[in-house]
Amino acid sequence: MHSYAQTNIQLFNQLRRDTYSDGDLILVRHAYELAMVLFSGRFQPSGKNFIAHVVGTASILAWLRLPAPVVAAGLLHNAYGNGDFGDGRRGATRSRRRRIRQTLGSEVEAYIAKFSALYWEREIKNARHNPDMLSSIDRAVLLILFADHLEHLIYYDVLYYDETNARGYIDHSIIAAEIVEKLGLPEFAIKLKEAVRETQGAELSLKRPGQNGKNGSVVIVPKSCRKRIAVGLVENLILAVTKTQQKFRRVIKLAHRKLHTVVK
Amino acid sequence: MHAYAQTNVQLFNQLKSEGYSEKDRELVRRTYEFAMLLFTGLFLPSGKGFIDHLVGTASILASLHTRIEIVAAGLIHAAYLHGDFGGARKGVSEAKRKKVRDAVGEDVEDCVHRYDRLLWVTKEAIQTVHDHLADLGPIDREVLLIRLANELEHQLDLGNLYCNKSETEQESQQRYMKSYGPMLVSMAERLGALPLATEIATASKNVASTRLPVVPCIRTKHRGAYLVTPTSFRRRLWLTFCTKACDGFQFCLGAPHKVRHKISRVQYLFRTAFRRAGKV
Repeated sequence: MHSYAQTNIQLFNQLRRDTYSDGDLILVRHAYELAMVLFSGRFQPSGKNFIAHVVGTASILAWLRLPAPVVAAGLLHNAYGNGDFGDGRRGATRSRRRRIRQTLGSEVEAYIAKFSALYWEREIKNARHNPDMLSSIDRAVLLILFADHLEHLIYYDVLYYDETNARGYIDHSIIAAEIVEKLGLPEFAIKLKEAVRETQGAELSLKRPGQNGKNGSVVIVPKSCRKRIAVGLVENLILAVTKTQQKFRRVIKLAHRKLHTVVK
Repeated sequence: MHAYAQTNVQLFNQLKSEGYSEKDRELVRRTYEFAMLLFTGLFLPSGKGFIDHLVGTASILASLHTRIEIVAAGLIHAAYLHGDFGGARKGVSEAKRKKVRDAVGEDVEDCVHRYDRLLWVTKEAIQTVHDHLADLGPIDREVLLIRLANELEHQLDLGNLYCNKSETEQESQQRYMKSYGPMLVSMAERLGALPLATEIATASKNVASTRLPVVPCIRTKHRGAYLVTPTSFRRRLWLTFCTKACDGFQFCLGAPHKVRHKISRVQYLFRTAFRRAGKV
């Protein structure tokens, strides 16, 4: 079995072994405490605890001996995508960014915000052609992304996803291996290649645990809890606005087309 | 790092490599799905996800090649203690038992129920189990194995030391392991689980000999497993009311006893102080 951490205890033991300082441990602990709040009750499509996934990502980053802020960002890399801030909204809003900045500092927040704004095709094109031109933040964020991919592959986690998603992770990891080699991390490249090879050769030991056909991660709410009314209202409001926007756009498109025909 | 699974995916891979049949693995998958519902959002005082601890316990049992019902029972061993069935009532009830039975079958539920009944809280209780191990029936022996796997899982990776918020607490944990470790080892040996006995001995030794900095310990007031409610959700109001009412009632029942205890403690302190003064 792989030696990457899957629990906070294993991660802290690893950081202690790798002689991260007390200040580093405190930063990572703060990040983990926030991750507990943001990802509580969230599970991957494979049924794996989401926190185990972020801990695994951070563990890979620590294995690469990256600085503590990068490891902490690894613990919260998907905060703006999947984190539950209790505001009923999605993405990197100003209040969310402020909250992370207050807890973990602006450096960690910058990594997380950059990660949430990543666009695979563009970033990879840049990294592939000009690996030396990457800024330190871009480099760190790319490594977080690749660590995230490796974490999805080890233990054959992606095999429990739908085929398109799994294929995507495998293809991206092949490209990632090529880039990390150029970035001067041959061991990481080897790990990525190994993970791809093993995943391609592996077969699923069980059909995936009941996520009702969903491909993304899901929150399983404790039975003794219910949604806050305010959050429900905001969510419904956003949904209604989005639907109206879509309808409005459709109507305009139709009108435009009709006008075009009349003019013709 | 040890080789026991901490996530369901690792556990499924392990079961396959240990040679458990597809039908067996299917039972474990079903039980894991049930565990996801019961223990979602629950954490140990060390900050470790409760479900990871359950998977770890099941993984230890699988490594001992126990029958699959025992592995599955390991996955939900704390169902009646910490499982969230959506009601205010704590502990085991017939309705809860039925739910568990419907989800995972009678055999597994029976083991979980026996596990819940096994007295393990106090020093004397553990000593009693140790002394009367020979009297246990075959199923109870397997249930005891789950208990020992649970104890080992708590000690792995120094997990129990991460629960302590000060050096004094860590020392008391180490004293606990020094006094109970050998008893646990002896029980595992008498149950015929020699690899488990070796693992417990090693883990106890590690816990007893390690000085862990308090820095990475999660800041929480909780002593047992606790729920971190997803931020967009809150506990149902009627449940909060019922729990508070029950706690208040129990406090009132226990109050006279607590007062008596306090008085006797003060008497004892005075007596020792006078005795010391007399000696001087």
